[in-house]
Parts: sequence; C-alpha cells; structure tokens
Amino acid sequence: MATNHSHRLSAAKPPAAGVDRGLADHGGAFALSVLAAAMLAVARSESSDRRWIWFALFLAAAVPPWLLSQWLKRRLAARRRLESFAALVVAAWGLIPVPIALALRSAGMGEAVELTMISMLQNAGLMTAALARNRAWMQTGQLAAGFTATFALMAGVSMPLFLLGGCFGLGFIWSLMAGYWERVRAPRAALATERCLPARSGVLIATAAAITVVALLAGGAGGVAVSLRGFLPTSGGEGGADEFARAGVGDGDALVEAQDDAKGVGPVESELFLESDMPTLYDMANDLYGDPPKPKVKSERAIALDAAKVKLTHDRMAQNQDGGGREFSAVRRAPRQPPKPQSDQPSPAMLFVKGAVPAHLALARFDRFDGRVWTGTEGVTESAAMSHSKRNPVIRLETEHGKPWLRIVDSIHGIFRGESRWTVKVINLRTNRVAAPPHPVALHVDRLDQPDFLGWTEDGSLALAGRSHIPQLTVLHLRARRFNLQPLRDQNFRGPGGPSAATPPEPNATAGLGDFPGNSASPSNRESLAGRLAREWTAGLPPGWRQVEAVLERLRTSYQFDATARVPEDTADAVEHFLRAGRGPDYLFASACATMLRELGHTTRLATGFYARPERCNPQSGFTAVQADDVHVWVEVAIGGRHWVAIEPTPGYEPPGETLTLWEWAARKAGRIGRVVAANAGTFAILAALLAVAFVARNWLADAVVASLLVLLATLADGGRSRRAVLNAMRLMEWRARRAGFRRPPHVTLSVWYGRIRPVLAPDAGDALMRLLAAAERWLYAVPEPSLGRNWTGSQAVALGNTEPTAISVIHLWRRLPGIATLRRAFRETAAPAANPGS
Amino acid sequence: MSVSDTVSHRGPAPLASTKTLGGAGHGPVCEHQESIDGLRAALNRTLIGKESTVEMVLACLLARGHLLFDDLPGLGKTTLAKALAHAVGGRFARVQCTPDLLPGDVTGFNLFNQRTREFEFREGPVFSDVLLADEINRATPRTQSALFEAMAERQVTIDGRTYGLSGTFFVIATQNPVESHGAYPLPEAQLDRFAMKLRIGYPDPRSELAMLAANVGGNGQPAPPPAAILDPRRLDALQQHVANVPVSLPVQQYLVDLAAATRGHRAVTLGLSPRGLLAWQRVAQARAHLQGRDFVLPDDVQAVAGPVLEVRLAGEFEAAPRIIAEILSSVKVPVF
Repeated sequence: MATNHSHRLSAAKPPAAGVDRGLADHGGAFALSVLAAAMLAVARSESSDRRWIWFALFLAAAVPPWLLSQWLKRRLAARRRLESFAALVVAAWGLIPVPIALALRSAGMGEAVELTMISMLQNAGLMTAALARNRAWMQTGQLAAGFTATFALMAGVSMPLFLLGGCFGLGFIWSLMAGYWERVRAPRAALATERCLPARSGVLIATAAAITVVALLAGGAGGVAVSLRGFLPTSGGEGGADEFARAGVGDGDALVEAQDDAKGVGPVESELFLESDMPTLYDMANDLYGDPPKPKVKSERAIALDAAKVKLTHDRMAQNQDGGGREFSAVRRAPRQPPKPQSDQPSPAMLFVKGAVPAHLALARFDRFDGRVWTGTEGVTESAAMSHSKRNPVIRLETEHGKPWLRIVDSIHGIFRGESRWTVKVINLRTNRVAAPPHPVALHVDRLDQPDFLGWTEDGSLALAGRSHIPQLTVLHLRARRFNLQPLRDQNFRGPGGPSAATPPEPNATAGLGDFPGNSASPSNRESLAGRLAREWTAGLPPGWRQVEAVLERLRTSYQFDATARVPEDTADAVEHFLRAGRGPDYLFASACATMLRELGHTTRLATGFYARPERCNPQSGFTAVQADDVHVWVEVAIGGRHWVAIEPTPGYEPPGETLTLWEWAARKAGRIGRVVAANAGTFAILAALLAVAFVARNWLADAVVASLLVLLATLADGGRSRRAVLNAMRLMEWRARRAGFRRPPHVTLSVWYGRIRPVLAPDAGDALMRLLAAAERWLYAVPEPSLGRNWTGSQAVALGNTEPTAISVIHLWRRLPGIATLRRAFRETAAPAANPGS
Repeated sequence: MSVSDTVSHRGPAPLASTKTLGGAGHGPVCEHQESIDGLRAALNRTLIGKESTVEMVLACLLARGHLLFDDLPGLGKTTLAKALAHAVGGRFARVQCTPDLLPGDVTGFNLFNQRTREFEFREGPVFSDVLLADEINRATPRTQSALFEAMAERQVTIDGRTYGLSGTFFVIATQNPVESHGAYPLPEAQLDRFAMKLRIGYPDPRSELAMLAANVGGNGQPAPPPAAILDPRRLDALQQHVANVPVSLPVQQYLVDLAAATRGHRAVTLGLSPRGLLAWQRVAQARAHLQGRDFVLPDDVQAVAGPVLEVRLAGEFEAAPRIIAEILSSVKVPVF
C-alpha cells in the first residue's frame, strides 16, 4: 500500500510540466493522426467511384476534434471540466463510424466491417490526440495513428497513398526521436520512476481473457481457430456472405470485378462453367411468361410444290432452329411453376451492365404479327465483311488509345446528342447477340480486332458472327448514342411518302419504309378495336411523334400491368382481348402498342431483351445485375427511314432515358410538378395557406410549443412551484429574447439584461417579469437553508413575492410574461436611448 | 452593451432599498436597515449627486475594508471622509501626509516622563475609529508602511510592544494623481491593503446648482458635520452581520473565474491576489446587504468590480476601466 502511495505521489508530481509539454506537442500528435486518417481515406476511396464521400468522411472525422482542440486552447476552465470525461468523448467519437457505416450500407454503399473498425480506431486516435494533455494521451493517439496508417498502407496501392505514407513515416520517426530526447533531457527522468508494468500487464491479461472467452462462446471448442481470425464476415465460402466484404470466395459479384480484362479474376467455382446451365433468352422468356400453347397439328390436303420452293422452306426452317428464339407468342399458358431461385448459383445475374440505368438491352426483334404470335427473321447473322445488305450499316475497325473498336458507320439523325459508354459482362447467357442499349455505335472487346467478328442478325440486332454464343465472362465495352426526342415532336418523321393522317393506313403498309423488314399491320381488313382506339386516342393530333406519345400515355395510364394475366388460348386477336380486359403483362402492352401505332401508319417492331433495373445497381461498382426475371418486351418505332427508337408502353417500366439539357430537364420537371399541382389545386391551396399562416405566426407557434413544453415539465415538477418551474419560466424568457433577436450576452446578468426593459413594458408584464427575475435569482444564487431542504416553503414565499399567498404558481405568472414581439419592441426601445433622448 | 454600461445602468441603489426589482422584496428587512438608511441619507446630504459613490463608500465600510480616494483636489474627498467619520460615531482623526511625517506621528510614540521617570505611550492618530490620511502618497514609504500594518492587522507595534486598534478601524486615504513631484507612489503590495479605490469625479450641473444654492448665505465655515448615527459597537455588529451574508457556490465560482481572468489578461502585470479575492467577496456581500438582499448575486460582484480591481490591478491608470470591462466580459455569468 505504501509503495503504491509513493508511486502515486511521484506520478502526480510533474503534472505541470506534463501539461505544458502536452499543450506544446499535441499539435504534432494531432497532425500525425490527421495524416493517418488521410491515408485511410485514400485507401478507402481507391475502390470506389464516389471518392468525395470518403473525402467528406475524412473531413467529418478530423475537423471537429481539431476545432475542439482549438476551442479548448483558450479556455482553461472548460478544459479542466472536460478532463473528467475526456475518455467518454473519445469513446463516443470512436463509435461514430458505426451509424455512418450502417447508413451507407442501407444506401448500398457499404464497406467491409474491418474498414469500419479501423475508422473507429482512427476517430478515437484523432480525438485522443486532440484532447491530449500529457504524454500518455499523446502516445496513445500516436499509436492509433500508426496502426491506422499501417492498415491503410496494406489496404491501398495508389501513389498518393504511398506519398502520404512516406510523410507519415518521417513524422512518426521524428516524433519518436523528439520524445526520446525530451525524456533524456528532462530532469524529472531521474527524479521520478514509475512502475507501470502491473497495470498494463493486468489490462493485457484481462483483454486476452475476454477475447478467449468470447471466442469460446462464439465458436465453440472446435471453432476457436476460426473465431480468432477476427469475426470479420467474408463475401462467401464459409456459410455466410457479406456483400461488402473485401475477401472471400464464391461470390458472383466478386467474380465480375474484372472490368477491363475478364480473366483478371479467375474462375472460382466449376459449376459456373457447365454449359448446360446457360439459358437463352427464349428459355428465360418461357420461364417467365409461360410456354406458348402448341397448336394442334392439322393435316390437310396439299399439293406438292416444286423443288426450288421446298428447298427455300427447308432453309428457312433450318435457320430458325439455329437461333435461340424464332418467334414470340403473345398467347401463353401460365408458367407451370414460378422460376425457383437458383440457390446453388454463385450469382443469379445473367449479365452485368454498367451505364445509365434503367436501360433497355435489346436482344431480338420481331416484326410480323398475326394476332397471336410475333415472328421475325432469326438466325441469320451477317458479318460486316460479308454484309451487302443496304439496310444494315457497315462496321469498320478503329483504334482508339491503342485499343480496337468496331464502329458502326451509320447516318446521323437530329435526335442524337453525343455518346454514352456502357460495359456489359456476359455471365450466364447463351447467345451470340450483343445485349446492347438503344443506338449502339461502337463495340470493344479485348483483342477483338477483326471487323467481321461483329455482324447483324436478320432482325437488325448486333451479334458476334460465326459463334453460337459469346463466351462467359466476356467484357463488352459499348458506346451508344444519347438521344433526345424533342426534334421528333416538331416534325413528321415518317419519311417521304409516308401515310398522312388523312389517309387511313393500309394493311401491310410498308410503303416508304425502305429496306426495313416487313411491317405487317393488323391481321384483317376490317376496322379493328386497336385501330379504332388508336384513332380515338390521337384525335386532333398532327401525324408524327405526338401520336406515338398519346398512345403511350394512354396505355401507361389507363391500363394495368398484371404479370399473371393471360389471354385465352383460343383467341384470335390477343391485342383485342388485352384492350378489352384492360390489364396484362408487358408483352401484351408491347403488342398492343405496336399494333395501334401501325394502325396510325407508324412502322414498329417488337423488341425483346432485358430491362436493367436501377434497384439492382451496386453503386460502389456501378454495375447493375441483370437477372432472369428482367426479361422484358417493348416496342421500337422507325424514324427517318433508318433508325429505330425504343418506346416503353408498359406502366412501371421507365422509358429509355433521353438526354436533356439542363433547361429541358428543368422545364420537364416544372411541367410535371405543374400538372400535379393543377390536378390537386385545392389541396395545394390549403397547404400553401397553412404554410403562409405558419410562416407569419412562426414566432407564436414556436413560442406556444416551447412554452407548453416547459409548462408541462413545470407542472410535473411540484405543480409549478418548485425550482424547476421558476427556472423553466426563466429559460422561456431567455428563449423568447433570443427569438426576438436580443439574446442575453453570456457575461451580462439576468437582472441587468431584463431589468432594463422594465420601464417600457406594460405594468402587468413588467411586474410579472420582475417577480420572475427575483424568484429566479433566489433559486439560482441563494444558499438553501439546510433545515428546509430542497422544497423550502419559507424562501419560496419570499421568492415568489410577498404580496401574494405562498401558493402562487409560476404558471399563473407565465401568462403575464411579455411575448416575443413585446420583448423585441421593448429591447429596441431601450437599446438606443441616445438616438432619441426625448422618448 | 458594454459591461460598464450595464453596471452603471443599475446605478445607485434607490434610497428605499428594501424594494429592488419591481417591488418584489428579496429578503426579510434587516434590523440594521434603519442605520444603513440613515448613513446613506447623511452622506448623500454631504456629497450631493454622488449616490453611487456613497453606496460604494458604505459597502467598503460594511466590508471592513479601507478606502482610497484617488481624485483631483476639491472634489469633496475630505468632506465625505469627515462626514462619514462623524456619522459612524467614534473617534475621528486626520493625518495630513507630508514628506517629513514620521511613523511615530501616525502610530504614536513613547515619551519619557520626567516626573515618573518612565516611558509612557502617547497614542497617535491611528488610535481612532475613522482615520483620514490625506494625500497619502506624499508620506515617505517608511511612514506609509507604518500605517499599513495598522490597516492590515488593526494593531501597531511600537518599541516591541503591540497595541490593538479599534475593531471598526477604518482608513480613508486620499491621493492626488496629478501632482507627482515629491510624491511616493504607493507600491502594489500596499495598495492591496485597501478594499477599493474610488474616484468621485465632478458633480453634474444640476448637483452643482443645488450646491451653490445651498451655499448662499453661508458664513464661509464648512457645514456642520452630521450627527452620529451609529456607534462603534453597533457598527461592529453591522459589519459582522454583513460578513454572514451567504454566498452560493456558483457565485463563488464566478469570483474564482474572474480572478483567473485578471491573472490571464495580457494588459495586467499583476493579477488579483487571494487577499484581493477575499476583499471582493466581502464587498459584494456588503453590496448585497445594502440592496436589501440576503444573498449575493453576480450583479453585486460586477457592480463592485471596478473599485475593487482598480486598486490592485497593476497597469496603466487610464486604461483600468476598459481592462476591467474586458475582464468582466470574458467570464460567463453563472445561469442555470
């Protein structure tokens, strides 16, 4: 005991020197901590697209401790007070990254658990260094900074990180040297010795014991080795998976991290490469929408054709079977069972797409429709080199930054505005077609430098010629044209010789469509429901894009998307059934839209492919997973003779994104808001009126809220007669003065500040204020009489005024206290007595 | 609003000081209230238009402090001191300090009595209840220090023998800041013995008019001194009563913070001593009592800060009010 005591004494001896040195040096320790935090921020931002987040988090972690240390420098009293709970402040600041990490996780931008833990250490180190007053605190801060910096160096690879690391190393070594020399030179080094081993080893033993106990509890006897690895979740391979983990095996997301080179990340699971698992678009459409009913085989009498024609038919048959989907039926049975989640699949993604989502990635087009089934020319893939067809543009090889790009040489249309970049990773889709966004113009695949590798299918889709499918893990870099449809709204784009609105469109009208594939219109000559409705919906509109938009608008607003609705198998016209039923899946919306637009004379075709959903986008990598249930059907409209514009008739799916100038974007938003406002004019008017009233009466409202809160608290405390009641009333006055713009300066006493307005207040209010002041002063500054304890009745009577009985309640006093407006007026009148001495 | 404004705004306490804020009484009426009111009235009659100065003088008296008047000649320093001496009753003595004044002239000396063949002690002016030391900075340091033992310890030692002074011994010293020739400025250590330093200043025109009117028809003799309102015994009881005015912890903490601020102010070469801090608390207690309160407010601390600090903070004479205002505004008033 005596030894301990003497140790305490010797340790307590040099606090003054310690304080001075701490104040002088803690800037250095803090600078090291900031440097370490900056290194961590750089390391964290390396794998992220949004670097500003990490930079902002770095600032948010480093600036408040710095401000606190600066603030404390000049305030010794506050510093002394803070010392008693400095450890708590450090702990609280160290815990801050946890809610931030949770919030980021919920926003899809999470990070690995170990990164959150190291940011906790970083924060604790920053705060420790900021509050450092003696050597122990400083060294703790430096230790945390050193650990943080070491971790950052292990986690990152960029040049700025290494530069910062070099600076940190120099600073760290310098501080260690300086610390050593200070100790050698300090006279107290010889005067006082401190035996600190028992305390520190005790802490170490306790920590080790706690870790062992937790490990035993969490992992069991056999799992200790696993548990001791650190409890950090991995991305898979051990039964659990964390999507933000930095390590692990077997995860599809991790697998496709290779953005430029598909082989950058090697194969990890053999089943991924089983060819049989790769579905085609046809398979997925059937899984999603159900199989088309098989028509009964009818044998009818026939006459043999000549040999040439037979051969042609066989050719066509062979070609159709070659490809994935040769037709698309609008009449289907319900799926036998919902597509079951593929639990053993590392990732359910078919494709990964990087680019502006939502996006329509077309794979196949169909242009003939018989009321039940869409058919198209399938299977023929022309390579660019061989393509002599006039309708498909030429593809040629260009080199850009040393990389080969296959560029589609196409005509320019007024709707195009620049280009956007896309990346498509083929994961689990068996097709040779390129899942391309609208208006692709160039394709780059690593080391693919022969233009004849890319070609066109018969239906006008891009495909790799001469291949049955694109190899797995291939990374396709695409460029597509941005577009803006505004020019279409102002012109008749249907090309020379196109039918005008005055002329009823003829069935099978393909005049003026150049070399586009057949554009079969309504199946019969009679006026169909689709045609009638189309003309009804577009009555009064000029021919052109406005008609298209009118039909789209009507379909998207008046019809309901219902993925389970089916048309009867025996129906002859699926579109008519859909239009009467008012609900259906996306392919019926698309079929109806295409048919109706054809009735109006537009050239349309059905596009099938994938709809990349924004909610599947991983903001960290920028990639959007495209899964089997993203199979989608939409419509393309021909414009200007050579280009097709994708339109989206199904509600719930975003139309392909147009590129807008800032002005157009603002105008469109304003128009949309204006329409909403106009539709709910009454509600908005009431709301605006309420807001206006609230604004005008904001002081009154705020006062009412604060006052009632304080009254409530005071009432709870002894019916408004206790210390709390009086002080709450005083707080209310302080709050009102602040709202009135006359906040009491902290060095001015209550009675000086409020006493000066007494003469200009109404007698009643002035009296109430003075009585409140007197009471508050007594409760604040009078020494309680011990015999009466906390609720002294005698003094209370004095405090609340001698003129009224003891039971006077502050609540009654409150009603007469001056309000915000009165206070403002009174303070103004008393603030400038020199200006008008007469008043 | 600067602190000096706020302090002066409170201004002098109203004559009927039992009611302060809006008539709400702050405490029970003290038994000595009548005496205090009488003193206040007598002094205000003597020094017209200087209620705040009178209030400070009373606070200093009740706090058992000594008072230093630092002002130009002819402003009523001596008049006020004499009036006070007469009003509190007891013996009054006056020393006109000059460079040839010896310590024995102040404290008294042993005189050899030829008849009895013994030394007998002749009491000096310090053996009084109120001592007026006029132009104290003209006395030599040796004489000054003889006086300061009397002030600090209320006793004098002559030829190895210690004589006790009156329990209510109260020194009013005056000094003239403009005539520095042949003067011995009081050292900081000795200034600390005074509870406060006051400046009377010129009266306002209205008070001067009243003064002139009162003087018409006079016979050139000074006005008769006021009648004694107290006696030393009652004054002692009153001083003891004031010393018992409780000071709450927040207010004491406020005093400590203010003291720390004086030590940290860059324009102050010598901050407040613990003795000065004690004096400040006593004067604040006295001021609270003069205001009819039975507890001390931060207002009291602020109100007496000027006179209390001015006597002990070493620095420029002219800058003192500004420095004190800065010190007061750098410390937060304890509220809530």
